[in-house]
Amino acid sequence: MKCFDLTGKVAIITGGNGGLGLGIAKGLASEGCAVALVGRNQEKIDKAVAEMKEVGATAIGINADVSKEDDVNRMVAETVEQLGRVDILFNNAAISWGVAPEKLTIEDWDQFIAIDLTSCFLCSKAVHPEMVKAGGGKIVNVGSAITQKAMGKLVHYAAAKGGMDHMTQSLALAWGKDNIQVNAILPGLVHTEMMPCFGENKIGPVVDYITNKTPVGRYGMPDDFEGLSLVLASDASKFITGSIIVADGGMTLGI
Amino acid sequence: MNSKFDLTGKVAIITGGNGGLGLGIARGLAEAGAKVAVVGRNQDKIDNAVSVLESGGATALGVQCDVSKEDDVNNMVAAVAEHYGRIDILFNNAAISWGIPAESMTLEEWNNFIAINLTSCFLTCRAVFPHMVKAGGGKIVNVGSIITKLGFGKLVHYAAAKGGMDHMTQSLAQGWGKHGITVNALLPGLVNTEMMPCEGENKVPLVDFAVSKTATGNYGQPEDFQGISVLLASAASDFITGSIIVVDGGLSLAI
Repeated sequence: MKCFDLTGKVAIITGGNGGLGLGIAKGLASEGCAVALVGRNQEKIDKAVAEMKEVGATAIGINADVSKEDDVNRMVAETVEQLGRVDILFNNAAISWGVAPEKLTIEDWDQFIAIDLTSCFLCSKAVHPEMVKAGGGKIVNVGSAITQKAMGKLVHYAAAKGGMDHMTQSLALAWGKDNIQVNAILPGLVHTEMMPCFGENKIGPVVDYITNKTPVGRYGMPDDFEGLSLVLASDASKFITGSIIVADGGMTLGI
Repeated sequence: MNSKFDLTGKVAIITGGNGGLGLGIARGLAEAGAKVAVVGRNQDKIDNAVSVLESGGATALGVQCDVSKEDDVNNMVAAVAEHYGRIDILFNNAAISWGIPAESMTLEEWNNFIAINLTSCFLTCRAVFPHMVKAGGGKIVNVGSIITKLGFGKLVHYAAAKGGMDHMTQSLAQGWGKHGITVNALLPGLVNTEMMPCEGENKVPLVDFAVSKTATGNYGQPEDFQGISVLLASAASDFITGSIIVVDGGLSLAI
């Protein structure tokens, strides 16, 4: 369908060198989009770029720490230099592990907030002039279904992702005039390196417990996000902005 | 097109599919390969919708039905199943709306609004359920309204019906996940349809004010819903269920 076509478009995907980010990149590439995969681990970046090229996609890798302003500005500059423009940004990079709030140091808190929330501000700000130049753009913030529920050891993550949800809405209002649509996706349990759901690193009984609570009866895979990502990156979403879309197989419906 | 969007061989029922948003959705599904059944009360409008769809190359069937009546709904679903041999997708899109202050509404008026805007959704879902189970799964999309994120003093009845629809969506998703049926809702904002003309001589007075508050700076058109409808009707949304997705151009973000 023409509304999904991304021929000639360029997307930056932070955390695009693996897991969900790489799944999103493959989805965008399936409709003709060129992609810049951003990460910190060069080996993973090289592997992801090779994987994309294998399926015929135009892909570049960029090594950047999205919590650092200079890195983020260089990331955008390199994308423009190599691919000519920026139309689409997926703020997907994130870190997460459980720490009880009473034991969390301010240094750890600041690091979680910097990588999971401030990065989203820095990347969005850095792509804004390029999107204005392109006549519009699409920003998709990859949040978490945690903002619909609660987890006692993920207070820091919940705070960062909750910030992201509401930033999505206010950015959407602010940049509507520039024809930039800003939306959020809230994934539930998805099999990635951050959260292995099968194999030898499987994160244990929590996977079975959650899957059992999930109406679709399974965890997600990165390719489950291709369609939704395509909608939000293309003309198919020209009347969708400020929306926060849960994609969790119904996990958050249960108690 | 990404193969996850492909609807070849699938059959979709769209209530209120004989005009406006419903016809826009039907055209989108047909473009992705689905056979469609458009349901309405006005036979002239049904005939016109079927010919619009067929002239675009679609396979289309018109069924006359009052979706608030149990017998009508059961007969409609039986007719579609007999004609096409299966049912995979249901869009509950039929609705009526006009403003009446709560203090001057009669019980008969209230009951009529609730029957057409909410009970219809229960009747159609229940009627398609055995067909979706037989098909090995299904996709139900409830077309609600952005009113559930706002308040309108003269639309208390409409808000009550659509609020019921949102929450029915979540509990149906929880109930029928085990049958491979996903259930989601779309909440449209201001869309140019016969129910709510946004241009021309019948333009509703609210339009300019609403548009001035909308992040995208415009009202929607029926075709703006094609991409998201194809997503929710296809395998691309197999990990999305119980989600309530705002499609309003950002109208509900503003105060």
